Amino acid sequence: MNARGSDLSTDHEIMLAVQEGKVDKLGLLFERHHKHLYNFFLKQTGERQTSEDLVQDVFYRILKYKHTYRAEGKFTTWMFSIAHNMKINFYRKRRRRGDETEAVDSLMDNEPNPQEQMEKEAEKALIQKALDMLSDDKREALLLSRYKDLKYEDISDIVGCKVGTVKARVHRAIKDLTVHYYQLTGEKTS
Amino acid sequence: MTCEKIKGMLPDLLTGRLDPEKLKLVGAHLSDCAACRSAFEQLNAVWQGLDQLPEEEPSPALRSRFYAMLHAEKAQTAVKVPLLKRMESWAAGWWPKRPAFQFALSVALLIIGIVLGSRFQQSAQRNGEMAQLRDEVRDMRQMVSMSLLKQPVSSERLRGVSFSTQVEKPNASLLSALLTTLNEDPSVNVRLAAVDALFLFSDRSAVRDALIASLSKQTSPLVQISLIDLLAQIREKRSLEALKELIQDQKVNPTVKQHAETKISELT
Repeated sequence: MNARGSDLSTDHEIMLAVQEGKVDKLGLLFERHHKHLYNFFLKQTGERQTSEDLVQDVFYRILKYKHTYRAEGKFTTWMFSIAHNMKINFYRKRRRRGDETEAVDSLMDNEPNPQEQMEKEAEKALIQKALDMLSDDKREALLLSRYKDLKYEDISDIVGCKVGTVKARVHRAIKDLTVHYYQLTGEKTS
Repeated sequence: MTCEKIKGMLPDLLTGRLDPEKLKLVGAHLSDCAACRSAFEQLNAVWQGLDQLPEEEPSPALRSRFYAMLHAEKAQTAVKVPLLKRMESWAAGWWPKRPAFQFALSVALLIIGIVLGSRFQQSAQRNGEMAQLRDEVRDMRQMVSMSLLKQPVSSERLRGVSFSTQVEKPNASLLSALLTTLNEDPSVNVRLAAVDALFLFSDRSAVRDALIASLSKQTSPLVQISLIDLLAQIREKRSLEALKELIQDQKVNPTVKQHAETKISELT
């Protein structure tokens, strides 16, 4: 439904225009990416309000540090590396405050499920639970690997580690996720 | 190749990051080896399961906050003009008070002006040429997008809309062609792209009027929602009436009506 994002210019072209001072154009990038970013944060933090705040912070930083965007860069890589740093800062601040409270708005209790969807919802809940059981770095690598236009090299730029490490993390995450899921369902993995 | 090696490639197979050569190898192995196939099916079931996790919509507050921030940023850029004024008053402090010194300074400045002026005349000429060139490029872009907008193939018309967004100050005929596209183009995608393009030119009152009028002409829920979002984003209060009429219209999709109601409450 992000119709505003259906401008045919590439993200890169739009970001260069923003850099030249056409800040209005950032709206196009917001419309294209805010939902992905929101879900990227939501799946990691499990908190809606926090995720919205983080999305807002990412776009604020894009605007504030627009001059640091490199002309040869790839916009999504840059955007996610800002997102990665925002998330780390967020957890750091929270730890410093000693505020380790559980997510107040758990992802699974948002709506009452209609009877016929119960089974599907239960499966979704198990997958979310298996995802929650992954370590932070594996979960993040896994979520990033789901964006088809991000190569392992891009993800390594985003999270700031070697390509080999990223690849190993994604592989491990997929395997762990599968193991956790089948443990939760009581089945065995092969 | 051993089963262990094949299993090591399964994650890349799932994420679509396996090169064609290995893809062939893994495919051939999986069709022969039941154990690896079963391992792949388990991984795949969970991987596909991730697709089922809801991609949630953030609350409308996120969009409002973002555009408020963008607006504030623009306003801040505009505040830079008084800085120029401050520089002027600083310069005024240097101007001598006594008429004789004023005269001497004026003569000196005049001489410096003549010397520098003769040097820069050539570059001024070049600047003039550059401005002319820019105008010509703009005119050419306008012409190209106008002609693309008239093409029978929708992908060409989409390119036309995209081209129009690169024209910095489009003339009235290009804007009117874009508005015609918004109201009459048979393709929903082209109409949606036209909404986006017109968003960039929504600082013109004629465009705003036409956007409000277009609301009652649209039949596709996607275009309607996109237009509603646009009118809300540009905080166009005059669209309230059109939005209310949309809610009254029995033919309009309930989701669109609901969306319009949300935006009405944001606008009032």
